[in-house]
Amino acid sequence: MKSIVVGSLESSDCLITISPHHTLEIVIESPVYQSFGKQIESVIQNILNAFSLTHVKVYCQDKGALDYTIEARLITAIERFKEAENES
Amino acid sequence: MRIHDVVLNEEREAIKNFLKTFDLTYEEDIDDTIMVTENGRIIATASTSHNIIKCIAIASDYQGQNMTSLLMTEIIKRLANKGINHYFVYTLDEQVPLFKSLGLRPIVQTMTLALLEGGGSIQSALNQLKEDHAIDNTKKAAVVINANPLTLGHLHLIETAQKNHQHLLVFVVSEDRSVFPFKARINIVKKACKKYPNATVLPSLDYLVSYATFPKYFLQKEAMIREEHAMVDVLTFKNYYMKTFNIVKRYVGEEPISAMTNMYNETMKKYLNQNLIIIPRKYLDGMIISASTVRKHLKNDQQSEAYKYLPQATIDFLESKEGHDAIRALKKRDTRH
Repeated sequence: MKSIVVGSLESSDCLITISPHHTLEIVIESPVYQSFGKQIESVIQNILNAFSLTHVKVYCQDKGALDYTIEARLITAIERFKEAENES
Repeated sequence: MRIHDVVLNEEREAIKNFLKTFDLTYEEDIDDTIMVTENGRIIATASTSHNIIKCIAIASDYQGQNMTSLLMTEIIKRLANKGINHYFVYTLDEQVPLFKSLGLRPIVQTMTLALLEGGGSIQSALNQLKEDHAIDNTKKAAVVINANPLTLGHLHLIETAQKNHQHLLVFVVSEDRSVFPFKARINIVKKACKKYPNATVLPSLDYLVSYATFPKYFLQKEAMIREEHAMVDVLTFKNYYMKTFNIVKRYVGEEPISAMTNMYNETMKKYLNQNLIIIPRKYLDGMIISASTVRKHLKNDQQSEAYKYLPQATIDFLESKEGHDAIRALKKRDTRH
């Protein structure tokens, strides 16, 4: 199955790639990683928990997105990911 | 402003001319190109060749407007659609901060150019490889071979290295652009290395690339391209492979015939110093053993000539159905690889 990519690399946005994985893995690249890396990770983790996803890799290329932007992008990515999963 | 894929030949010609105004050339191995237009005028472009993003250019009056973000977003989405989630950018040193801000990680930097990656990290990939093959932290020797296909010359190199060290790592170039597919190449090496219990055969992963794949579009002189390619390759090996696997010696064969490969060895010597061991090449009936000679013979239907230079494992493969397919593919090709 292919990965799903949602969002953009514009300032204040983020680009989220979600792919099937043998465990749960979250990778974050961010210019504000020092200050907000942990927070971004917990935002992602919470959404993944809500959707009960345990075998995916979420790769977030952040460009200073606010929490709700990350949430919205991730939820869209998950929904498309599930759709693709059902099709295949 | 419109973003679209370049499909028509006339569009491709327009992109070539656009790149020319930046002294950039449109590379021949490109699979896909996108362009951004405004009122019919091209203002930006980017291309991909498998997992390498290249030939990025933005009209001067549109620079500083985040066009790179736009191009990269589009390119990453197209790559994901093709199932590629790990990608590379070669760029000039001064552009590194820009690509870093877009979430790419620098792997190596020379005086002129830098290699960055997205969607993966070399360090975690190598740690994983080390774990998968249960490799310990003792001192090791290493060889890196494409083995296209494996010859008695390669085996001579492997044998010499394993004799002098407790543990030898044999990296087979993973890049799948050679006539002999990666899977076949590594399987032959594994079979042939069974007799050396202290040798471990590993894939090189995507990080050690051949000269053919190395982007040349922003470097002008052939000699400079050669040197930069060698530098990127050697520094990647030194900074990551040698550190992760505790490699203390790298063995290579000397290059008496190919001036290009010899230059590569010279660059290696400069960076690896006493960690590099160059051994004399093996001769057979006064002829140097080389994979390119073997390919030439196979191409010209001189099977028995080719077999003289090959170990049994390679011959077995060539006799199989897969082997016949590879030889057929070889006959259709006219490039060096």
